[in-house]
Order: sequence, then structure tokens, then C-alpha cells
Amino acid sequence: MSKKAVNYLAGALMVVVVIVLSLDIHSLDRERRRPVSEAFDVEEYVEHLWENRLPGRLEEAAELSYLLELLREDPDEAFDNYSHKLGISNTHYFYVSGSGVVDGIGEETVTVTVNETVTTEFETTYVFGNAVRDGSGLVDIDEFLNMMDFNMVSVYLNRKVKSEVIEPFMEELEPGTRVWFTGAAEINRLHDLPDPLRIIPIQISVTDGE
Amino acid sequence: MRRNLVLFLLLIMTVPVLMCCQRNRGAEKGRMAVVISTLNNPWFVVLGESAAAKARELGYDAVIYDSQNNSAREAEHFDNIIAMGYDAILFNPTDADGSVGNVLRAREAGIPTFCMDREINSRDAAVTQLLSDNFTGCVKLGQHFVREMNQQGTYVEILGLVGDNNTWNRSRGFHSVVDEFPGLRMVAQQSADFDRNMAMEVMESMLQAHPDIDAVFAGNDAMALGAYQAVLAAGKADEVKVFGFDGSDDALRSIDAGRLTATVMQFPVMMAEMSAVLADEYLNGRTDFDSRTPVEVVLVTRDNVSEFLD
Repeated sequence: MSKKAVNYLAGALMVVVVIVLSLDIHSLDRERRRPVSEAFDVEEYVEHLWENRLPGRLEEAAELSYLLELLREDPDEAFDNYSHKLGISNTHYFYVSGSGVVDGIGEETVTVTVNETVTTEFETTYVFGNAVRDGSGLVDIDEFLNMMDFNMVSVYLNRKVKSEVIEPFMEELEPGTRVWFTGAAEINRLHDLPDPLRIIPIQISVTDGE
Repeated sequence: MRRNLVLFLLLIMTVPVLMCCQRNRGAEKGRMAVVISTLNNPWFVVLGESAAAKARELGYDAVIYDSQNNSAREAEHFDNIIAMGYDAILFNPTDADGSVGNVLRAREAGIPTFCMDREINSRDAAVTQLLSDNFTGCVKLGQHFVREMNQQGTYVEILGLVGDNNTWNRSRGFHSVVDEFPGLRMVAQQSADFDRNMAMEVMESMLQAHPDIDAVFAGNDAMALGAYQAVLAAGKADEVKVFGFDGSDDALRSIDAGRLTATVMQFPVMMAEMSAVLADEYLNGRTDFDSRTPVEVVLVTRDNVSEFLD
């Protein structure tokens, strides 16, 4: 091989090395796992919300039997005064509370009768969506750099609900157990009122004997 | 000869001025530029034409610019729009990070930007961003997917453009649900750039590597339909469930015919028209805008597809 050819080859090799070193190559898998903007600590945000801001909001939840009656008799007042919604949407989110008796335990839900008249279902498997985040009315989309960060708040809130509220509750549960609860529900304004209404429980306490 | 040449040059210089005046006479209130990421995809054609039509209805002159999914071309469009002194920009970006600079340049030049459908990573560069809530849509789709699969099986995912926030909002929304069920296992994940033909090719090679999959999640309907073609050609249409996103007419008909399993309906016409209305309100003095306005999307399955068919 001539000296000229060797020089060309070395030059070409250097160009390739420079190009490769200048590229930021990473796998789709890494991209998929990257949860949020690097500046945003979603776990810290949710922990602060859960510990400091949510308890006060839970105390303002509407009593379930009263709310369902209002939704039937004066839906505009019920939606306007007791729900939150996000952007352009027909889905509204409510915080509700009540006490009742566990009637049945299914694969996806636990059925509870409230005030001996109203039947509701606690979600125990499909704890997803934005009911907990948006029902609170505490999380402002303008705080976030992008939709991903905003939506990860729902993901982490739902995980917290599942691991800290639902799973411990399921361990002490059997039909006939009396419970007090606060939870989040979603209702589409254009659809019929769901019956029974499904709730994601945010607080549950067993009240037998009290 | 020289006099003729001078006259000719004067004529050449006068024509653009006359054209400009002609165009401005048609616009009672000013001009809006509609910058669209690509007009190769019918979904974005609907988005762009709806925005322009609404702007014209509101009394503005409207011109559509096609960025051809090329951020350099998009930057050129912004240069021209700023130089020509448009009043507002209805913008469908090519890149969540790369497009922020264009919007900031327009803002510095006093031209407000209203993002449509695709997001930029900034709280305040645009006046507001009207966005489909892709993540939440795929949370709904993910729950339907889990139920359809009875919480077990293997599947593949076909992603859209890797640089687009919507791609990852959809993918992560879906995985935020499906990954909670250990019986469901993703065996391959590959991008097909939201393109039907590319998705068909990707699906063909995925089927060769994983012939026993039970389902496909595609990041838009075009890719879902391309994947379905490959599944059909492999003789596996009865075994593999295909899920999409967008709510395109083709996908709705396919669901109704029992081919695709589900999609998520977006509302591009509403988003585009609302962006033009918000721009008009801004130009008339409104100042209170949220940084983002998510637009609800709806899960479409065989149970409710009839509600969406013409």
C-alpha cells in the first residue's frame, strides 16, 4: 500500500472516530425508561403533595349519598361546585367520602353499600388515570415543563394509593367489614351517571366496633 | 434597449408589492401563518387546512407552510414569517426541543405562537399549546389492552418519530398501565416514524423474529393499519390483536369490520379551529392563557365505534 493511501485511510478513520464520538447514541429502551425531565423530581413532588396538601383537600370531599342525589336532581350545581376538570373535556373528577359495609370482593373491585342505600365499587386492580390528581384541584398544569412531567404525577400518585391504601386494606378485608373512606371518582358529563359509581379510594379505615 | 431593461426591472420589483397589497386587501384583520410539521400525513393536512380555514373565517389571510418534518426547513419558515410581519403563528412543531428557539425568535419579533397537537418543551415561549392528552389516552388504551389480553401474552410495540413528545407520551402512557401486569411481556420495540409502509416492513421482520406474538401496539393508526397488513399477509389476523391511536376514518372502519381491536380518537379539527380562535382572542386583547390546554381523547372499541362512524 502506498504512503498516500495510508494517509487517506488514517484520515478517513479519524473522521469516523470524530463523528462517532460526537454522537449521543442511546437505546430506545433507555429513552422509554427515562421518566421525566431531569430537573423534575416527581417522587419528591408527589410525596410533598401527599403529606402536606392532600389531607386538607380530602376533608372537603362531598358525602357520596348527597352528591349522587344532587347529580340526579341538579347536575349543573353538582358539576360546578364539586368537580374539577382539565382543559377541553367532558370528564369531571370528584372527591367523595362516606361510610358503609363491604358486600363483596371481586377480581377488579370491592363492593360497598353506603348508608344502606347506595352501592359503590372501590377500584382495586385498575388504579390508573387522573381522578386522584385532578379531583384534588391542587395540581396546576402551568407548573410543569411538559405533559410528561404532569402525567407522571398521576402515575406516582396512583402507585402510592395502590401500595399504601389499597393493598394494606385488602389484607384486613372480608364481607361485612364496616369502613370509612374518601376517594376520587370520574364522571362524564355527557353520559348517564354510572351505577354503581367506581371510586379510587385514597383513605380507608376499618371502623368495626367503633 | 436600456430603457426597456429599466422598465422590465421596475415591473419585476413592483409585482411582489402588488401581490402583497392584493393579499392584504383580502384580509380584514391581518395574517396568520399555519406551520405544519408535515403535509405527507393526511392527519396533519386536516390539522393545517382546518386551522387556515378557521383563520380565514375569522377575517385573516392564512398561508400554510409545510416543514416536511425537517427542523431546518421549519426555521426557514419562521425567518420568512418574521420578515413578512405576520400577526400570529398557528404551529405544529417538528421537534419538542428544537422548535423552542423558533417560537422564541417569533416572540421576540412580537409575533405570538399557538402550538397545535405537538408540544414544545417550554412553559412560556408559546402563548398556549392545545394538545391531545396522548398520555391519558394511552392509559385508557392500556387498560383495554390488558382486559382484551386477559392480563397475559406477548406483544410488540411500533413507535412513532423518536424525537416527538407525542411518541413518548403515548408509549409511556401505555406502559404505565401494561407494565403493572407481569403476565404481559413486550418482546420487541421499534420505530416506524408514524408511517404506514414502514410499519408494515417493521412488522414483517418482527413477525419473523417473534412468530407467536399475541398483540401489537402501534403509536398511530397509520402504523397500526400497516402492521395489520403484515399480520394478515402472515395468516395471523385471527391470532394477533392490533391497537392504534388517532381515530382515523380508515381505523374506525377497520375496527367496525373486526380487524383492528381499538384506537384512541383525537379531534384535530377542533384543536386547529380552537387555536385560530385563541389567536384571534389574543390579538383582540385577551391575556389570560394557560401554558397548555389538554384536549380529551376517547377510547374507541368495537362496542362504541358506531358512535364515531358517519
